[in-house]
Amino acid sequence: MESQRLFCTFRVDGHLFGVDMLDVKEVTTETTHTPIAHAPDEVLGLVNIRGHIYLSLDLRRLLGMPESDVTINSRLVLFKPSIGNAFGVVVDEISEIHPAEPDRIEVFDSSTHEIVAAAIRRVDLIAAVCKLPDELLVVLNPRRFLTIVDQNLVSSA
Amino acid sequence: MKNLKLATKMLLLTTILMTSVLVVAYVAVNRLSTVNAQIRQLVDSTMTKAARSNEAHVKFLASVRAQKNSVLSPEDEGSKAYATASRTAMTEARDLVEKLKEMAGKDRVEGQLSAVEALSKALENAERIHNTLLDLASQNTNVKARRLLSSDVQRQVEVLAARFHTWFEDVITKGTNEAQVLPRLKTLYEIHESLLAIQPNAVKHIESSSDDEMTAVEKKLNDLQDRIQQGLNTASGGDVSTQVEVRSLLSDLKTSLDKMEKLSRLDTNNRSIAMSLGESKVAGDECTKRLTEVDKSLAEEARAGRDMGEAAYANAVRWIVGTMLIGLILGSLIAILVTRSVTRPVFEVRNLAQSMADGDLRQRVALRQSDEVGELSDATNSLADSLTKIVNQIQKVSEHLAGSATDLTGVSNQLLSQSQTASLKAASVASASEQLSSNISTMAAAAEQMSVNVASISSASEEMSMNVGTISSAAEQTSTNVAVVSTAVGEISNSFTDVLNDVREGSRVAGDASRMADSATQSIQMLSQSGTEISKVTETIKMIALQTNLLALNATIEATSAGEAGKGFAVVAHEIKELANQSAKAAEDIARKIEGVQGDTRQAVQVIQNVSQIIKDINSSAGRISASVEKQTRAATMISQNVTEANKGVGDIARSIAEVHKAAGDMSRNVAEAARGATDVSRNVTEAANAARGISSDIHGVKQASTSTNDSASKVHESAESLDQIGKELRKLVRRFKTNTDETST
Repeated sequence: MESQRLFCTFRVDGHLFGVDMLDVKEVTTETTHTPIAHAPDEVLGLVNIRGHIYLSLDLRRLLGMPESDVTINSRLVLFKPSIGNAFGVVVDEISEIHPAEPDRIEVFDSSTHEIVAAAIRRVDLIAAVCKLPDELLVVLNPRRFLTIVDQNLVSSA
Repeated sequence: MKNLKLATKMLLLTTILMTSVLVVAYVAVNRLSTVNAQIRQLVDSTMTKAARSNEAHVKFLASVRAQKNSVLSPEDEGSKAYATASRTAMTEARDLVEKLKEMAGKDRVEGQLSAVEALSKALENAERIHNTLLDLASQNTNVKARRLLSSDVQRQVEVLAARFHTWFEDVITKGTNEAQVLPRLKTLYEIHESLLAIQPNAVKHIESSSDDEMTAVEKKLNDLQDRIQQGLNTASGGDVSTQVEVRSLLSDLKTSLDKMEKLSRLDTNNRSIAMSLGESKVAGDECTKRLTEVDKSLAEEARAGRDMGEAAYANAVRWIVGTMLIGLILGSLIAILVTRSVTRPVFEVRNLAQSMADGDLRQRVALRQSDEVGELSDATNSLADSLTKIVNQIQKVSEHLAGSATDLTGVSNQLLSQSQTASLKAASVASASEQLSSNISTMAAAAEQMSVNVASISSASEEMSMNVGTISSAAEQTSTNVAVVSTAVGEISNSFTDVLNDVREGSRVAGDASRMADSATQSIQMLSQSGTEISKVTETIKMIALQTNLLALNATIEATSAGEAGKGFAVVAHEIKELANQSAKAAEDIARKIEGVQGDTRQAVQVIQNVSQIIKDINSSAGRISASVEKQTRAATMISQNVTEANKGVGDIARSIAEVHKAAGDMSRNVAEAARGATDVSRNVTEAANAARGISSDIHGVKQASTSTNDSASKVHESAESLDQIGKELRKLVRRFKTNTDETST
């Protein structure tokens, strides 16, 4: 039997999202970023974490949610180099580490949602949906984050 | 060796194993096949030789048997056939022995060749004798002689005997002349006897093998013939015709006997038998002996072959076992080397993980190898590094937290003592205000009574005023009334004095209350300040707890990334997270409670300000009461004076009725004024009583507020203590990890 997976969960605009914990490098409070000139909207700027420079993305903008200011609960979730080159996303609030049994996880295939897929281009950010007792945990695919930024850049240019 | 991959090491190990197995198998097969070939060759040649030897023996025996048969066979034909068979068998035996010789020469077995050669010589000798013997045997001269004897000789002897018999009869029939007859018969008898003796002598001649004996017998036979020859003249009695016939018969007999003698002289049968029993037997025995020797030599060879086979087998076993041992030792050595190079670093990594689990993060694995184990040790080192980093951070945070908790405890202690002081003060304010309330109540009762009295004065004075016309008739009544008034006025005066005293007391108490309220306000403001400080501290704690939570989250992430090795730390990180959450919750509780305290404090300040205001009101009311009471006192004194005057003037009421009227009017006026004043007093006093009740309830509120403040302060204290405890636990938990910074700091 497959062992249970661990998800690092967080809230954006009140909704519960998560990424596989093995993809996460670190969670940090450092959210003061230096803006980059002519950067896309999704890019908040550069962040200095203990001497290393990371690209900070706004997960709200990536998910197509209304903009919001950085609050005291905002956290920067940094990903491992295997996911993408030195980047992280800013989330509204970090939640817990949710262990999830494999039978609670359903892979989200955008091709089965053709009607919405056409309308919502960013649906391919979602990797799976995990059924928690009181709500749904939308598991995101962090590998797509930088790709989405590139796509937007191309489509806007 | 160190820098090879594990798989390569395993491959190396397997290759060594396979190679040693292959070498052992090759040596075993090689040796065994050599042994097999040797043994087979030995056995084959020995077997063949033994078979040849046996065959030769059999042939030889067959030849000997055929020879015997040939010797014994009475007929020429049979004897010749047997002789041919015997020769053939002998030749075959010779051939076999020749082949054996060839083989023995090829094999070069010591002693065997000489034995076979000896056998060959013996056989050759035997064959020579054999051939001679067979030649003799095939002649059968004795038998022929005997046959001749039994046929020709016997017949001639019988004819002669018959002739002699005729002569006998002739003698007997013609015997007239005795002298003539008797010598004739005698001679006849003698020649007959000689004739009869010929046959046994001839048999004797045939039977004899000795030359001398045969010569003797021949001589005797010749004698016998001569004697018959000589006796013939006499025996025939002169009958020449018969004499000639007998002479021819005799010569025939002689010829036959000579022939027989010649045959008998050859004596082949007897010689062959003698040879067969003598020389041939010796030669045969010699051959048998040689054959036995050859057999012995072959058996020896077989034994040598067996010994050789055993030696080869032992040699092969030694080779196999030796190769196996060398392969085993070499393989074991290399296997131990490989195993050591795999297990030692794994053990080191395990020890590190164990010491990490025990909390010692100072250990590091010092491995300079680039295989999987080296990677594992590097990963474990980096895990230990990051754990050390995290633990150090947590330690710092927990130190900070502990400092904050200590601060908080100090502040909460201060708060507690202050709130206790405030509570005490509120309690004393409450008791003072209760005293004030009771005093005011007494005052109110007195004022009520005074009011009643004043009312009765008023009615009395009105009545007096009304009945002034009828004073004369009611002079006594007036006198009585005046006395009553006088008493009443005295009482009022007394009451007023009481009231005054009470009011003064109230005023003093109110002043005390006001001071205390001020003091309480001050305390509460300090409390409020402390609360604000606590709020700051709890904010810090919340921040620390948040950071700790984040650190614990990151620690969990790191621990999960480390996989199985990080499980232990994941549990620790979870506990740290729980503690951080508890800290945050406790800080939240404290903040909430402080908020409550602040609210209560603000309320208390409000209430105390109210109380202060009311006390000020009371103070002013009491001042007003005091003033009006003084006025009343003055009025009462004036009434008293007036009454005394009235009392004095009652005697001359008639005289001074107008004066009385005036005085009564004055009095009435004064009384009305007094009544108004008394009502005022009463109202004021009631107001004061109400105020005092208000104060009392407010004071109760204050007391409650201060009690709840006290409770809150206690809870804050408890929370602070539990926070302190949590901080200590956190520190203890973190102290479990020994890190290098520990060493440098201690």
